[in-house]
Amino acid sequence: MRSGSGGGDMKSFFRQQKAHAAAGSVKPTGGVSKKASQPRHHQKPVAQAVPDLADDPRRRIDEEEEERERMGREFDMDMRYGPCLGVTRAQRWRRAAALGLAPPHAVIAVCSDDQPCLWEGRV
Amino acid sequence: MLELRLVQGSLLKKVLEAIRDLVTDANFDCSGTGFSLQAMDSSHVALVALLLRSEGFEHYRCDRNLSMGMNLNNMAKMLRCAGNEDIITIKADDGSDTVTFMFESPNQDKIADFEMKLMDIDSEHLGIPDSEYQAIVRMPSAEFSRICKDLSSIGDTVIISVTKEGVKFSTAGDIGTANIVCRQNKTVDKPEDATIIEMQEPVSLTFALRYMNSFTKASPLSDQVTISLSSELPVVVEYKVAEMGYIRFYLAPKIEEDEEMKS
Repeated sequence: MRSGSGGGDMKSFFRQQKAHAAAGSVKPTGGVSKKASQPRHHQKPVAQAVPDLADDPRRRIDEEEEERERMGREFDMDMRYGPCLGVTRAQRWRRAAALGLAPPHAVIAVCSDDQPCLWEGRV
Repeated sequence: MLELRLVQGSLLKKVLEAIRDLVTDANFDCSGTGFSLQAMDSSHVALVALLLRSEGFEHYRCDRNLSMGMNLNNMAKMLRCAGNEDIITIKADDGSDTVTFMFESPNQDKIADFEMKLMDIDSEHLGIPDSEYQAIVRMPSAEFSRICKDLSSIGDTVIISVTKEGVKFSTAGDIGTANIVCRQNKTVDKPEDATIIEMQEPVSLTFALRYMNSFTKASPLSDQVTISLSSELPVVVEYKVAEMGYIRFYLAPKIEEDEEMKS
């Protein structure tokens, strides 16, 4: 029997949900122990089927947008790269890079020059 | 802090026996809704989704959503130490890397606790939409189990075809072919013996019997099984878990080439 090829891959039918943050498995960014913290943003629990428009491109774009936004926010919240008020994300990234702090490259790729930090205008 | 008390402890034992064939390691997710699990088999062809709603537990406390990675074989080993009449309590502390299973005998004269180490499991989580199915067959689970077992001694795959007349399970192998037809039958003494077919349009799909056979390990949980079929979707084989939830198995249909080889 072609046992391996039992059929199509499940993932070609059901879209993968983002990170298993779903119901609480936390993949900490720092060196925190594996169950120490709780999900920062928590999605629907597993078994509640999520209405899902399988291949809706709009949705995919939304999600990419959300992913970028999330990355930006996380960068803002990461104190290692210095104060974020009064500078744009890109400026802060360059300053961190100049100081040898090795900020993640993915962030600069999605930051436009004029993108303010998360706290701009709120504090 | 997590504390779940399940009076009908045998349910949990049966649930474990039902899924450990298919999946070896999985994350159990606990939230306010209930105790749930979603996992794929190693080849990603089949998926199992389990839900035990919080209302079904005598006591359900889950302060924070918690995901516990467990090796199902080890968990089954521990649960096998529980009597069928025992009350099972699952406990876990936030931040701890163990889970405790406590078994109480019905007259409370024996209490056992087993602590199991948790694992860190990377699992993928799929969003399963609510879909309309072309055909839904409800039949006795023992019957379905028997059919899958019988057919697997002849062939590797089963073609499930639903028409107005009934549902046909067929297979072909080196030694010959087999067809089993079950007709709709609502006029039975016991409702659990009924075979009910709801069909929007005829559908015929091919599946690997190996997986179907491992799904039928859930038969002890429920007298009836529900099979939902649509040509573009994985089949759903669902067993209700008492009044508190379900186990659903999803299996991707086999691609055309196999059907052509048969004909």
